[in-house]
Amino acid sequence: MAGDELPPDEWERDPGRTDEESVAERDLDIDVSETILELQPVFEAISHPRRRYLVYTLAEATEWSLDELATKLAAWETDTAKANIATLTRQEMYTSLYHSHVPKLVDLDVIEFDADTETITPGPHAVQVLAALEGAGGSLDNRQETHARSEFDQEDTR
Amino acid sequence: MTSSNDHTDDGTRLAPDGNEPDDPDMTFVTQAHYERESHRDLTTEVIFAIADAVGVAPVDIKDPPLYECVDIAAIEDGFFGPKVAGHTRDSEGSVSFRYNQYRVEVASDGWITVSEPAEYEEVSGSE
Repeated sequence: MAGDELPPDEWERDPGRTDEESVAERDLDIDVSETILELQPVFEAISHPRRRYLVYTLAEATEWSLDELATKLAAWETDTAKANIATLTRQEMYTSLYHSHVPKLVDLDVIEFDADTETITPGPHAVQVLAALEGAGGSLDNRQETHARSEFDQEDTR
Repeated sequence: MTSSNDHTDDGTRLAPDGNEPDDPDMTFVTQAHYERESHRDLTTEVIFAIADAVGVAPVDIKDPPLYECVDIAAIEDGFFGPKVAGHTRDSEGSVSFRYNQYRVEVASDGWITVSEPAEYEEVSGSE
């Protein structure tokens, strides 16, 4: 219960604008519901740290092989240099991405996945999701973002 | 995808913990245990178990992606998910689904059991 009501001069500035404002409010309502619909894929996409990581990498390079991504993400989660990632760890990450997170992000139109070449590229909603990550609370996993955007050394992955 | 030869008729029909598949037409193949604290998610644990059943490396299990078969995230959340409104989830039971010819059962105690039809050659395509 807020005791203070808005000062009258802010509450009803000008009776002549009432109609205009209610129109604006109606517009606002419509905009809000549309925004929520558009945000649904964003929330789903970023609700898992592995998916956030994947989206962050799309800002660094727009094309990834699933194998590269699995190595990079395994290096992040185990806090290990890429050269030291055990095969098993990489297989676990690859499996998690291939059977769960990649198809989920494809479903949400955040990425596109070429099953033949196992290549990941941004989908129609990628920009939107990345913008949301950068705007709202992206700093919460700043270290993850930095790692995801760091360059990928391919020579020492095996 | 049906490259596996039937190598299960060697007497190992019972799970180590005695969890016999309740369906007599299904033959136990392998079992794995999902640990909620593990870095392996349920998807990975299931695919590793299936790879064990087929006898190939996990990265060779490709078709179909598990995501297209079953909502694993819902199972993981329902059985092993975080507390909801201060209460632990206490659902008990199991969920089973098909992955190619295999039946995969995930129980709320974390056991994943992979079985296949006892007479797979005769019933292939008939389900």
